[in-house]
Amino acid sequence: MGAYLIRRCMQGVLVVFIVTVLVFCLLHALPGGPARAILGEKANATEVAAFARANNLGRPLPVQYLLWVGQLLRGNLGHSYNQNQSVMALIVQRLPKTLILTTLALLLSLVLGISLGMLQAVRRNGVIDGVTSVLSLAGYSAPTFLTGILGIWLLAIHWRIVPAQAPQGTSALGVLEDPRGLILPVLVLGVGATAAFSRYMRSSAIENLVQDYVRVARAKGVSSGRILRAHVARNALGPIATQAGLFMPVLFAGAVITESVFNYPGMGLLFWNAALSRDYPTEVGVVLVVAIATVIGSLLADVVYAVLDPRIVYVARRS
Amino acid sequence: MPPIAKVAAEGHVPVTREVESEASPYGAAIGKSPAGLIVRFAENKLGLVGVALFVGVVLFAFVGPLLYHTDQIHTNFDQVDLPPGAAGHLLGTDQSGYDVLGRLMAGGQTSLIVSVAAAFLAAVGGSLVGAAAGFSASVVDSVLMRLVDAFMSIPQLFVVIVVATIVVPSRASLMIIIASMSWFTTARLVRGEALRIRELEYVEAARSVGSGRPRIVIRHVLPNAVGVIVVSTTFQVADAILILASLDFLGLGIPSPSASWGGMLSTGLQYIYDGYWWLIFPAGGIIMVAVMAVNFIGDGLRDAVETRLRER
Repeated sequence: MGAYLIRRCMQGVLVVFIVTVLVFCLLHALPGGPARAILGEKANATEVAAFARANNLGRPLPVQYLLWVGQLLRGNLGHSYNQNQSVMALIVQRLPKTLILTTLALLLSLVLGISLGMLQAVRRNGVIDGVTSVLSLAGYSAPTFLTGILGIWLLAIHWRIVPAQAPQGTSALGVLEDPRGLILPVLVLGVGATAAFSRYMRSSAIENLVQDYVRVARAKGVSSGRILRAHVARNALGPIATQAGLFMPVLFAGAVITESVFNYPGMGLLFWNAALSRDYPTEVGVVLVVAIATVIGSLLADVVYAVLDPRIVYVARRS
Repeated sequence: MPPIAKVAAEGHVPVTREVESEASPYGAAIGKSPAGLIVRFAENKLGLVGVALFVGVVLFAFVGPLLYHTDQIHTNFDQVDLPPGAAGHLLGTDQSGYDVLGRLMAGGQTSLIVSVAAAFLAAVGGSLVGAAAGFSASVVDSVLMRLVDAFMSIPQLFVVIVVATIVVPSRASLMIIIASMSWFTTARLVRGEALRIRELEYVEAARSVGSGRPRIVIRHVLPNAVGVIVVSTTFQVADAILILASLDFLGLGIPSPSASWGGMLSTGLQYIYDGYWWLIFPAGGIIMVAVMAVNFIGDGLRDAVETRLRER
């Protein structure tokens, strides 16, 4: 287990390294070079020259890369000239809110997706299975902004059950001050993932239901409920953990849309506004943080998988 | 909503999509006759529904404007926000006086052209990288695959947004941006195929008569991986439609007066409290129909590829 984890961590570090190289290339692909792009059109030649000197832009690219990574490691993601704040400060303020949104959506979709999938597998080819399949196909194909708009239309305007705007608290955990405002964003962000997890769980559970060990358990007189809980669910959960890890980028991307629809003050909204105002340091900073969060997420998912299903460690070791 | 192709790409995990009791790994298609594939596909009802819907959307976008003439360039502030049916506008008009039905057609052209072209570009690039990785020394292979990992861990939409703020959005640039963030799924799948195919006897035979590596890749590996490539490309089209619509929704796509489905929805959101439903539901509906159609086709194709495999 230890060796497996260390190997996965090393892979994660390698991936993060490549991500930083890619992002660094992106920085240098900015129109007019990084200095001009970051300072904006109104900056004069002296300011551009000063910025270039301060950021070592005259030195060879590999040296610049190392210096830049050095800054990153010290927690310096650059300065947002549009908002006159350090990018790190902006992200630290917003990241918890986005994490609350994505974690709640992930938990909700796992609970719903797994239960729906199990239900479908048990009632295979019945009415419930059919209806759920059609719904999940629709949920899978609906863009987040469409579900968002429909949600506002139905739940906030027609039925007036929940507010259409997300909570606007400014502190890191401010969104928790008004939990009702969280309902709609979490639901909307969770729809796609719920659809995906339920489809995955359904096929995974069906696959397990025809296995010999289920037949043996039945022959021994184990009740259906116990077979489902103790055997089928347990075996089908491992791959779901991996799926949840793979879903991190999807959820973060969904958060950009969800946050812009509901004006939710998280990192996605920060990123969107940065993109609209061409605030490159913030854009790039968010991409880096999200990529690292994704790597950590998939790492965690693999750890959970290994705990749920110890066989995976041996398989990984042998291959 | 989620990038389907991306989630399906992880080699060690079976696919997210519907897999009946026999889940064979996505990447294991063998076969020489595309005709057999088409016959198998034709047996799949949902797949055929998908084809019908997709053809419908294509006809709507490209033939529709020939039958239903509208001006999608000049604003007309005399006829703003008209409800459906008023003054000859079947689906009403928007806040600039554009005919909504005509605008859906115009937006459809951009959406379909960009998505299909981006998926095609990604398929070509991804196949070449994947085949190269599968056939190269292990060092090159690991470097390429870690690159793929890195690309997969950066959420596609974020990079597409950053790049869309760097270049001027146009059909061509969006096509390239989306393709450049979509190739790695296909690359990973084709690599898996290449790893398998390169151990087969006929490849050894080809090698023994002196075929070079590029020739083996182009003549033997790619044609045999075509099932996998086609399936993953189909799902990429669905992803591309969604990404493009998201960009347009966020106001980072091709600017007005160019029409786009996502852009129409984002305008509709501004008028949601006014009850102008025709600014929201038609655009939302057609995006869903297009994406579902492509997903149905993809599901059908995947089943066809896998069935052929099972029968061997």
